[in-house]
Amino acid sequence: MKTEGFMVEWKRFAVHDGPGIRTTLFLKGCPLACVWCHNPESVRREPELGFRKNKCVLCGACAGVCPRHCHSFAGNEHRIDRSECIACGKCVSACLYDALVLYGQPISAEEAANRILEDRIFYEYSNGGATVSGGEPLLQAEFCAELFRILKKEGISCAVDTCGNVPWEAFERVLPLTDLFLYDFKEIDSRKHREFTGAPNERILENLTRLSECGVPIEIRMPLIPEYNLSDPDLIGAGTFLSRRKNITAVRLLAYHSLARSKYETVGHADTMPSVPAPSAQDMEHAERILSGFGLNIINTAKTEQNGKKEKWKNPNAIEKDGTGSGR
Amino acid sequence: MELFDSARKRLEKQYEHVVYDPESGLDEQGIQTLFEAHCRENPGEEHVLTKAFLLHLVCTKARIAPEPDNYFAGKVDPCASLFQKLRWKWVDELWPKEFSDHSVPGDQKMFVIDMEHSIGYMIDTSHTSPDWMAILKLGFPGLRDRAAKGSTALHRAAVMVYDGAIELCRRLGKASGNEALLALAERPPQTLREAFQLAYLFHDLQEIEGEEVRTMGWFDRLYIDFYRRDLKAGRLTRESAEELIQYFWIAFYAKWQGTRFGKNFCFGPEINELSYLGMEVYHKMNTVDPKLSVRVTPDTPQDFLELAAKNIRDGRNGIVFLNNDVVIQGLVRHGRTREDAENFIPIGCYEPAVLGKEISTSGATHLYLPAILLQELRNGKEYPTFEAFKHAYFEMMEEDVLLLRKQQCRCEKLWSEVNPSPFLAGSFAHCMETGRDISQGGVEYNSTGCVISFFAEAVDSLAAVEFLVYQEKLCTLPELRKALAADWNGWEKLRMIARNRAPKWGNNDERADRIGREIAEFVSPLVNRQENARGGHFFASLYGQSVVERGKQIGALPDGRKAGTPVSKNMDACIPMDKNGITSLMNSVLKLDFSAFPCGTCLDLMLHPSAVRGEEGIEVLTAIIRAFIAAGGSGLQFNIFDAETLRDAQRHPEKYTNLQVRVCGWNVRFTDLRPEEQNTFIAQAENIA
Repeated sequence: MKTEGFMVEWKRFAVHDGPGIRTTLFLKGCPLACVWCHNPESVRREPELGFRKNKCVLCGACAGVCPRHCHSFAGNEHRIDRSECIACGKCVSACLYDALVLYGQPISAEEAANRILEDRIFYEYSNGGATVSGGEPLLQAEFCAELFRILKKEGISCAVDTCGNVPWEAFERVLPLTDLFLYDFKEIDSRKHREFTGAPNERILENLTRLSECGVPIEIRMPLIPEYNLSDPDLIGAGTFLSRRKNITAVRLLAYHSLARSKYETVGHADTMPSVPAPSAQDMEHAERILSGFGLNIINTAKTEQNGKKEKWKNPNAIEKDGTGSGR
Repeated sequence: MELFDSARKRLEKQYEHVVYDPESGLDEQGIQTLFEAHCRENPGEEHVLTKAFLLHLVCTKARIAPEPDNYFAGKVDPCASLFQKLRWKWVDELWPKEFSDHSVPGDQKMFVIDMEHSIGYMIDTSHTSPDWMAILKLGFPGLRDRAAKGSTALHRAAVMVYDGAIELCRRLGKASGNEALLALAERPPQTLREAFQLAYLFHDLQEIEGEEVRTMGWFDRLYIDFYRRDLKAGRLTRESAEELIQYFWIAFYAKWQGTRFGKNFCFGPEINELSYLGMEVYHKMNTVDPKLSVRVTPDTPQDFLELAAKNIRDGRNGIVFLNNDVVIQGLVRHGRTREDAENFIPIGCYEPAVLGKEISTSGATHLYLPAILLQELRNGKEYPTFEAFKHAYFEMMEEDVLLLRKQQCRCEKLWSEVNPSPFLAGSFAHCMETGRDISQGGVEYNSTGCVISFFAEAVDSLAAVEFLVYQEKLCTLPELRKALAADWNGWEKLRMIARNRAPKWGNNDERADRIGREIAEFVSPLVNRQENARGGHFFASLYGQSVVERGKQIGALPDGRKAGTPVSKNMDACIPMDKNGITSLMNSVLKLDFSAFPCGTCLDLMLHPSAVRGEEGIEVLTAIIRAFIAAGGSGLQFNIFDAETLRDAQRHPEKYTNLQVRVCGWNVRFTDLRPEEQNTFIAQAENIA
């Protein structure tokens, strides 16, 4: 039987989901419910209807095809009764203005692999590849493993972007096929972690500890949210924990922003995003300094110029020239 | 000399309010009096000699401006209106005779757009390069002596204009205390400063004569020996060379304040220490002019490519990347020897031609692909299948191309009488051997560019016809005609289906890309086999320009586009139809065979600044360039900005005086664009947010 995944969307030319140019597949369903989540449409496991109000021209085509009469129009307002919606997608096909979108569609591993392979030349020249993200991709570990098996045969580098809150067995399924883990680290204090994400962090930390013994490179990703996880004790606690784990290639600091707020309205969820400003450049540098003090390789994405620590591109066909090389 | 950084403001304004020394010569009125006397005394004189007389007169008698505080003095009163008047006098005499059959719509002369037949043609006086190698090797005295060996009117004219140039060097040299200019009156250049001075003055005089210079040649290859010699002799250091380059380059900016196409300096494929220096200086200068092009090969050193990418990332977007091997392959496939093809230079924006052996007139003719489809729809015929519809489209295209050839040949016959160019022609060995002007097929390769325009609209429109009429049967062809005639008014639902459901170029969607390939494979040999009036061939290029102006002339299209709206540029998708991101756009584009378009192609990639931030951003850019080149792509250029910045720049232009955008083959300051042109960039940027 073919393994099917349940996806939200594709992102091609993804340059922030691991090294190089990548294609990211966002899978649906997450065991956490972080208040600051930037992908609220990927949290629930069931399909959901998205509505982009600004694209709607009130043509009523959706109401004409909806079997449950969810769409209604009162004056200049298009209302959706989500309690009745079964996310059948009929209105999405009928909407010619792309105002309606269906989050959550099945995809086979083969189909996903073919989509990813379309851009293989860009992975080759950028040391990029494929990333599964979400949501929590390891809730669909079997699908990820199947997808990676196909991609590995084609020589494509594979990365998993995980929150870590899954049974260890899920990691074991993808471990032999994964080149890089992007591992979220949100908060060291379990009580606060539960408050912000809906779950304690013991399993997340334990999985990270086990994973760090497996020899696969791990890039830690820390979203930094003022008033939530940006205090000195938060950072020192994180630094202490992370500095004792092996195979951590880098810790990437991601400055919180609220640009995703409109997505909550689109998918019809209550807006939980913190009403705090983005961390300042000084906040970010402060965090960078504290964490660097633990000997960690920090990538501060708020800076325009970062330190390039990567191996440079080499022309495989180049003939060594006698010393004059670059001419400088 | 004052350091460039402190002199920059003054140098940027060097062409505004030039103060000519009234004692140094005649003003335009005085030159005109002498010129009119000459014309009266020499009725029936060959045009090339009349032109030469006028240029000689300007060089030897017109007022000059002393410039002791500039490395590169060169301001002579160009008496521009005299040259203009002379050209238009000849055009007005000859054009109506040649086109007495009323085949030119309206009262257009020189530059014709005939949208009824989907074509444009002109006497292209805007796409040339002199033979920079010969110029730097021979200098003015050497060019003069070479011309003096012949006895035709062209030879005599060339001697006259180079004598004038030599005299001008003396006059300017004395007035400005400029040793380099005095030396150039006697011999070829020996130092980098002399070489730059000669190149600048040659370029200026050629443009006064009346043919625009559209490339300054290979920056690294032409000047490396001068640079190395100067370093060795202790005449220059890397730092003082940097000063020299900046004084040199800023003059090109100063002349048009960045509002015209600009001058191109080419880099590579052999990268030397001057390539690095030039690319570093370009970043430092952050100027909208000159423009650069880079001939990229798999062997291009990574650190050099990163330097170029750094320029792009930081908004110095006047750089176009060309696939060296594909360009050469295209030139060889279309009649140039391999050795000649390797000496190519992009003329204009990115149109390759053989330096020193080719007059490519790459902007001479245009074929407007979507307009052909409208011609076909106007005929009212029915087609049982999409194949039949497509076949009729190609037949119509063939008819248009034959008309284009006929009209262009008539233009070209007039060229030598309307704008003879002895100063330019004298730089070409072959012109001097044959005694024929560049306008008379005097060089080895005499090509006529044909810009195959607005490819994306044509692909999408054909794809929409297939989808709407033949596959989904959502409307009949007569209904589609009605919808287009009504500019889609009253057909909104059908229009939205055409826009949002029919396949589109630029999404790696084989349903559309297959049609794109078919158009490309049909149009390229059709155009490339046409002979022109100068003993050469037409050469196809594939890119769209003047997207706002031409858009206004093109009616509603089957792809859902409304009449008069802007069309797509270069190889890009229709705005905002590339919904799958830039890798899919590139994958679509890479399905075409670019060696079939020897006169150039280009893809514009628009990236969000966040995608190219930091060191990682430079790696992303070089990876895109390498991958595109490796997969057989040809021209590539970038725009990097976000819609919000552009909107803010529209509201507060004063805050964004340095914001550059790449228009088609050239870059300008965003704030210099007209609002409707600005809006096309904003629409495109919104699509990548």
